[in-house]
Amino acid sequence: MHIDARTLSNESVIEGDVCIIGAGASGVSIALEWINSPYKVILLEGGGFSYEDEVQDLYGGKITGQPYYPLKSSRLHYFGGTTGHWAGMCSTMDAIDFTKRDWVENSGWVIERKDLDPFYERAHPILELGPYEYSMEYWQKQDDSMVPLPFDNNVLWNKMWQFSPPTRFGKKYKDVIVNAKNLTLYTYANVVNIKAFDHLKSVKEVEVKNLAGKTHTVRAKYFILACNGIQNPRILLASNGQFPNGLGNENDIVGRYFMEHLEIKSAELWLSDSNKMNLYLLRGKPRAEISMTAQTQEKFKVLNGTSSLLPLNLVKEIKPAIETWSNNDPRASEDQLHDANKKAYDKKWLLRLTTELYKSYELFTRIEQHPNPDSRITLDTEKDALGMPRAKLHWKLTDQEKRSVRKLYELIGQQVGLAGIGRVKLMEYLQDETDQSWPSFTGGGWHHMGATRMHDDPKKSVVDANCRVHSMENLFIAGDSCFTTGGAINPTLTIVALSLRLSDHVKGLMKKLA
Amino acid sequence: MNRRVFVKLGILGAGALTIPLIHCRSNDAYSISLMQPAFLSQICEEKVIQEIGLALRKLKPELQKKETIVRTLMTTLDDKKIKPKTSSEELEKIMEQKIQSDFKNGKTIILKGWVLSETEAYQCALFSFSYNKQ
Repeated sequence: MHIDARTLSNESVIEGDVCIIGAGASGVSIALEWINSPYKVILLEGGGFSYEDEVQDLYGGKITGQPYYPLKSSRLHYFGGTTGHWAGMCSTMDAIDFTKRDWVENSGWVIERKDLDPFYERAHPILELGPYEYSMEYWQKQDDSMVPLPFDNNVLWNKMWQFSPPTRFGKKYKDVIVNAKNLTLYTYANVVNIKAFDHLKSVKEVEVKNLAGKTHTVRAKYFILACNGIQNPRILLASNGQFPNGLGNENDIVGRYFMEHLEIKSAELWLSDSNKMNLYLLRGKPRAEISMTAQTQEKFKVLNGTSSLLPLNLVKEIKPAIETWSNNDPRASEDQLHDANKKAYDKKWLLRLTTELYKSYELFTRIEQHPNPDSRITLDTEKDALGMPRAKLHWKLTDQEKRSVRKLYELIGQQVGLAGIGRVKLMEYLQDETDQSWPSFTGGGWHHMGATRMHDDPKKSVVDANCRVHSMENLFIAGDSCFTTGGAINPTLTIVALSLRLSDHVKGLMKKLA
Repeated sequence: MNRRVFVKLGILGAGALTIPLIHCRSNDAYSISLMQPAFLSQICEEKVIQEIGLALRKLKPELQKKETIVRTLMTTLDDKKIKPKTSSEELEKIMEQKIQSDFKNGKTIILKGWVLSETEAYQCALFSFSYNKQ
């Protein structure tokens, strides 16, 4: 069922068993799991079914620290969320990403990679991905033209990626959600406040507002906050009526440890002979990125990161995202990105990419960020149209990221040198190892992780291993804001997997209640 | 273009590189084998190789004397002096082995952004003397 919350009488009270706040990749994935269950499920979406600028403006906020994309345009605020324009790149986190690494302060999840494996597999069909296979050997059997560079497997390895069509959740899952009998989707239902019972140990209700001036109350046994990596902490911080520092923020952790994936061109690979690089190039098929092994990361005390390849003479026609994604309107930013890179989106360009042979490649980095408490989201003094304080992002990097990027390319350089096939040239910003600054083209992947991080210790985190807010018995958080570390992959597949795991957990709790 | 050609032309144009006789024979082929980073010269312009060489000499002031560079280059993998009678082909092979060994053992250096074996970086340094004369 679907109800436009603007059409309800003001101050309506909506009641159900489970309330999912947010209808993006995470919220919709969870909602799908509850269809035809014996429970009454409420799914709240702040926007409608398509883009509206005044609704999108609720995501606007301030940027300080490392330059970043405008907050307003870095997520989409309507049913389906940012899957409305995501690129579809998927891979799994590595086992090392979950471990406590003594060289990465604040690392160490309280779950392991194997805990997520069954959920990764379940997430695959939701994202319309291929078989749950990420070994290079498997994909080489499907396409023997995928030949790896001759690296020492103890040093570097080829991390496989798959590509979602990309699944637009808003289109793909609208009908099934709207037609579900036990589930009601409320659009134009922005949660602006979470209220606890007087004993302050569990959530009683959430306050919902919209731009039509309506305010409603939603009550449920369990609440799952599944907005996004910036809105999740924002809502907790803004729920400060009963909790002066915000809900779940007894230890001043909410909003801290914000992490992005640094995405930046970093080096050039020059080969003596032309190489097709089918394993590594974007061809509409699974492909690999060059990654550092766990052993290498430990040896050199570096972060997890990967390098992707594009022919140098083609990549010159691509402009850095941080330069092109500068408009507050995500549609305009997307247009700017496409206009600036229109040659790169041309069919001829893609044909050249896949058919011609090249001797030189740009090496492009994607690397995790060290979990840093000073990299954080706070509330601004300015309020949005619903009276909620806007988010303020202070994205902060440390010298460990830069040292890790540099090491990645030193190692690739060493490996291609050893193989006698090429040499690597670092970009200027990496050449002086004492220089800790970042160039103007430093960008992120629009991945907002860590600001409601997971850990067993409430003093170090916001949620526990089941994504439950430590101080609240019935409030859970879904999405990449729960990530303890970011890994070297785009987060959507892990977001969906973690959401499915959370969904199973809440189902178990519901059964116990029954 | 096979960049190996440029060193020959450069040397012949400027006169043979004056590598001290105490270390090796002084003829063009021999000099080329010693001061031409074989792989790098396939992918880089000679100006780049010169810049790399100058960068190393700036980093290590003791390399302002080409005798020092030649002395370092004229050793085998097991740190023995290369015999003066060694042919240029053999010398080239030894350089290649040393470069491989450098990469294998992490004896790399970053100069002007290039991740290089120490041996080939020394070759660039030696080349930079010759290039300056042109």
